[in-house]
Amino acid sequence: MTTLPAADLLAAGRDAGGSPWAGRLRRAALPLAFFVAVLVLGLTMAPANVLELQYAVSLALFAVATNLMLGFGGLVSFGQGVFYGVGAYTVSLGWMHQSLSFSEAMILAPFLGAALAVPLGMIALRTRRLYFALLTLALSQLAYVIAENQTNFTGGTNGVFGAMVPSWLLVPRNSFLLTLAIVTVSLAILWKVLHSPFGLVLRGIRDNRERVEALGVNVYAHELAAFVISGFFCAVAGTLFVVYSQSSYPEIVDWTASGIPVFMAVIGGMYTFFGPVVGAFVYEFANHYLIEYTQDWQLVIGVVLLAIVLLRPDGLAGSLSAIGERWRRRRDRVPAGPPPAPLPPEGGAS
Amino acid sequence: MSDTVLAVEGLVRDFGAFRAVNHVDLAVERGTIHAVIGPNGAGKSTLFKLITGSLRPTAGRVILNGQSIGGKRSHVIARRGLVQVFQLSSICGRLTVAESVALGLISQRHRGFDVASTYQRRARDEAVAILDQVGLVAHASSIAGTLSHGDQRALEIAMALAIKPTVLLLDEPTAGMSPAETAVIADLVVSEARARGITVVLSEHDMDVVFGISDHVTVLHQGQVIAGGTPAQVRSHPEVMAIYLGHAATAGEEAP
Repeated sequence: MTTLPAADLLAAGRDAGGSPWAGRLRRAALPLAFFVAVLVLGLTMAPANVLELQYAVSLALFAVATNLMLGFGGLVSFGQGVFYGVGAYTVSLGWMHQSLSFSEAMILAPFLGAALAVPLGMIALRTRRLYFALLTLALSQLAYVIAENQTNFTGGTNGVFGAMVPSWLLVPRNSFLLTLAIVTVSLAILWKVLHSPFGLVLRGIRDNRERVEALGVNVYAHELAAFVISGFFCAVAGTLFVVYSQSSYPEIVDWTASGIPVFMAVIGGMYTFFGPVVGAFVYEFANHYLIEYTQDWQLVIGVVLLAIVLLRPDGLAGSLSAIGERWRRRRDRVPAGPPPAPLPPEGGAS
Repeated sequence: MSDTVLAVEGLVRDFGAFRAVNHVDLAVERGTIHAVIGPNGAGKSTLFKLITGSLRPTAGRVILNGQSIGGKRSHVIARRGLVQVFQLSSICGRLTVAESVALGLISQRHRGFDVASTYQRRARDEAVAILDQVGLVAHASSIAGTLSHGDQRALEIAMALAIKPTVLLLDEPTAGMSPAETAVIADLVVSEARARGITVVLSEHDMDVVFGISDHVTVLHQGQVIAGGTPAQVRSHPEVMAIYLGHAATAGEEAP
């Protein structure tokens, strides 16, 4: 049938997975190498640096969860810090009010994040584009005010500090390994979600919501689902902030805190799954090292961000894959390019 | 017996003091190709927007398969079987061609909330069969945004076909196309409509296309229906000749 060569053609395409295992392995190679590198670093670094690495790992999850909306759903939210805060405050307030054990709070927090995302998403998603961004920004300011003013419940401006994690987590290596495990599992789930029919519909909505609606898709309901899933995993990232710092305070739900994962996604590349992970590491280490040289490290980050948005909207990961693509094309072209006659057959150049 | 699949009854739409659509009645027979023509500003696009629910009528009803679809949201109307292809190219630019069609298949099978399977890959393979019919198979793995204008129009039709429409609404499907591309799209519309028993409602500027493929033609002028019938009847309608084809005929005679 005529569909047969067509199917072959498709299989030869970028991510159709012609020979499933080879393709899968090739695609998994880079993330796997990254994971192993982080693991080895974490197990060999000095404890102070391990803590920094651990924080970067947890921010990577925050960035990918935010990018589910930004890069895949086309929704710029400056309110994901609200769910990050729900995650962090659930653990710390559970401890302060002696109502939840650490593990109970760790399990409950993501579900609270998701539950809160339902009404907030229902309101915010009534608006589009700039208005959506501003409304989510307003929500994070609302959360900030609540965290700051409800002193009796939240500890107010000072926040909550104390021995809220089990003592075994005070060993940097243990807390690093727990963070890495939770982030790895979460990223695997998010990968699966974004490489499902739902993920395809979401990317369609990002590109052209009217078109997708005209194909019979309830765009609002899909955006809401994305908001809830994002809320769930932002809350997971929030619980890891407590594992890292044994504290929660209002600044983590401030709108500037919500902007950080957006920056990370843009720097790393919001149209790829792992771009925000790269962005999180670059941002966090730039933050860590730049601060030794200049008080205005945020200015440097701002200039970098501006340069990326203007020159490389696909971010670092997008640029890297473009370079890889060009390199592959050139490699494929070199033996085929010049006429074969003057060359010795099967030259040893390669 | 007549079998009306889509009926428009007394449709009115005002924009402030301007009445864009003025008591329009339309009855589209199942399985036919029904063209709506008229000069620029006649109200064709507004009429289409009223039918697909992207604009609310000031008065009147739209009935699909015997049920009123007035005031329904556009994805609900699409689910009921009325699918539109927009006037301006409207694709998902970063998806591949096969993914774009797979999107329609996923929607048609209610798999949009499936977050755990790889059904989109099966849908993508299935999409290739549809792409084969619209002549886009060679572009299956291309990014939709990189296609030529004509191919993007064909892709839009393929996306619409994926959700198995009862009525396909095409707003100027050949606008901005070369004569060769126009012929391809016209052939495509006819062959797909006949093969799948789809009713097609289209608005079109190219009179060769209109009179070549339509079973029924409705003429709009200043928001009102001034004539309707087979292409031959409409062609010989005096009012139509005067205000629409008349100009074209005169221009055509003067040109050489």
